[in-house]
Amino acid sequence: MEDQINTNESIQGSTFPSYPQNPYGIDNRLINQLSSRMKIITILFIASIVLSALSTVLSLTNLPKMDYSYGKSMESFYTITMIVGFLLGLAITLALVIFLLKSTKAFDLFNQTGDIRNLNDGFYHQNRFFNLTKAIIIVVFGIAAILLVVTLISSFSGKY
Amino acid sequence: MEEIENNQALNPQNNEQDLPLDGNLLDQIARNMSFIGIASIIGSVLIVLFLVYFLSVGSKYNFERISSTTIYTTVFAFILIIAVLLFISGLFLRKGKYAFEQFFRTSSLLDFHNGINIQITFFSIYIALIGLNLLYQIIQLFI
Repeated sequence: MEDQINTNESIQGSTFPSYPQNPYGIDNRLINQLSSRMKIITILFIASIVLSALSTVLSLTNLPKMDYSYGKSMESFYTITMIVGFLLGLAITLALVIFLLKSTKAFDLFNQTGDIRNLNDGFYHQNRFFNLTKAIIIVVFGIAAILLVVTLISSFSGKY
Repeated sequence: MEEIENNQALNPQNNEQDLPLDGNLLDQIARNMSFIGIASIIGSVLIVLFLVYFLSVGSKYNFERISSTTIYTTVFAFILIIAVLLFISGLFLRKGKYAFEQFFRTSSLLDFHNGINIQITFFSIYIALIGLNLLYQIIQLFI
């Protein structure tokens, strides 16, 4: 017991921020680490949005320079696809960022207050993040499977 | 005997009522982690298969006419790193699922901490994956 108190004191005195111990014995440092990792991911997601926006704008401004053998209709098709793709990506990434932010906020609240409801709340938003990731995986795998089937059918029918 | 009872009273690890976590929520998280883990492993295997296929097809063509081979080597290495990271993250997610399942059985705080630890490792690998994606986007901007 004495050792535990000493450890807590040394933790509070060193680089770790001082958190009130929760009555459940849950390691606050672990929750803090989890929260900080999720914060880094949030920042990276935001950076990814900015970079995607930049590359979309650059691609759209460079479009007239491209030489399309299919004519103007192909150019507008590319423009629309790029804009829709960017907006879709933006919406999904923003949703992921919101879930991550809510989750980290709840985890930080748990570290401050020691209230288990905040931990449950953090897990709830983390679960939403995982659910959305799962949905993205299903859609991506589905599209890949459809493309694979179409390619296989085309190659077997001797079209290409 | 009394001493043991006192220890149990002090130690909330073995008492489920002392850790009122939403079991249903944690179960869903464990299932989601398992699903994403399996998908990551399948995805990494598919990426490696695609690389092997592309290399076998690519050997028929003269890459040097299109571009320098070093660019292709770098791109392959890049994709291979992503595949390996995906595979490792998948393994960790599966491990996390088992840790949470163990927690449901034992209600031990140690298993809960183990699950959180694995989540931390998974998120670290996830950071590396997104970082690589960002690097790729930055390179693309300059090319």
